[in-house]
Amino acid sequence: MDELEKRRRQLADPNSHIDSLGDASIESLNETELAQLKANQAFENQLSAAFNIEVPEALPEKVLLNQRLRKRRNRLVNWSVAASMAFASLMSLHWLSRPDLPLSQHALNHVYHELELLQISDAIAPDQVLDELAKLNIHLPLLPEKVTSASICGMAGERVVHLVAEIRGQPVTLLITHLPIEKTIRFGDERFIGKMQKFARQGLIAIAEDQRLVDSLFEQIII
Amino acid sequence: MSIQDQQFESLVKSFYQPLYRYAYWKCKNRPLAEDLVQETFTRAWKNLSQLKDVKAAKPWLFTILNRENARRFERKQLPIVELSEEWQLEQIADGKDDLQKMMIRRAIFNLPDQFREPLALQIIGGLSTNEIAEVMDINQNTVSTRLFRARAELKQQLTEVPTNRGKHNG
Repeated sequence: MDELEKRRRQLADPNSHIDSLGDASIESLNETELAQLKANQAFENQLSAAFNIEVPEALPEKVLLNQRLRKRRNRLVNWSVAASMAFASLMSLHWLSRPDLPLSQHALNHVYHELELLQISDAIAPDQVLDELAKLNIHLPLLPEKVTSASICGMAGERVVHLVAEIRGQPVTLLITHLPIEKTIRFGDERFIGKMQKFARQGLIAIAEDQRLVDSLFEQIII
Repeated sequence: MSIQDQQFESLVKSFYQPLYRYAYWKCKNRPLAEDLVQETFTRAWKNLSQLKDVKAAKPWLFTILNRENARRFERKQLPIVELSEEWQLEQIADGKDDLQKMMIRRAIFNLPDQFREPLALQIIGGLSTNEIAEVMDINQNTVSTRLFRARAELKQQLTEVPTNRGKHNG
């Protein structure tokens, strides 16, 4: 380090320079140098006093309170996010485990849409039923023992055969569709119980107010 | 209270004063300085895990404060209101201040930012030249030069004051 650099560093950081001077070094200074040193020291003290403005007394408490509030808010936000994610996951699981739900919902809606068909008690001829089935190229091993209504309807964007059978004096709806049904599923709401299953190339959806009626219908039509 | 909470509380209590003073001399506005300190500690809390060495806490906090100040300008274009120097100096004055101190403060006020900031870091923060260079992201020699020139400028202003006052007073 040359003398110029040394001098520059002293001027840039006089406090460190003053601190680094040992007693021996100070004693070796002449009067002018000593006076300069004292003047520098005084100037540094004045600078330090001028920079040291008053600090708001409550500042640390404010900072700590702010941090605690943020922490609590973050915890609340995290909890909300976690709860939302859990709810979303649960809903996804619910829907994924019931891939039939849209079709079953369509089926239930269709029954509600044509509730008046459930009031008919007179049986129609088996040929009339076979005619309706033939329109959609549908074959059943056996027909329900008593059919009170047979028609072609639209459901979930597809044409279906809509039969209403009567079992033990109670109406049971049978919807026969070409819509894909992968496995046997039971479903229902406050009023109706349903079951859908694949049979040959068609899907069968039976709906009634009692599950035993649904099962009975399937026993009647599938050997 | 968790260990992290304790560390944070210790940091706040140890450094809120130098940080506030530095923030004040940086923005020359008391409420803004307080906001800057709050934002600095908020950021510090989020990144406390980055602080591996307690000895590095001081320059680390000053660096955060500088960045928060820069973000302040990025976030929104604040309306620029020129506050009078007299008013600004009154905000930091207290009854115990002598004339000498007020004159030095006025001189510090008039220093260009590039000189005032390293000087504040050195005197308020007690940072070394090397640490100031890191905080300000500039060369160490540049820091030394600016510190030297800051002092020279202050001394120059202080020697000029009586003459100016004499002129103003007729």
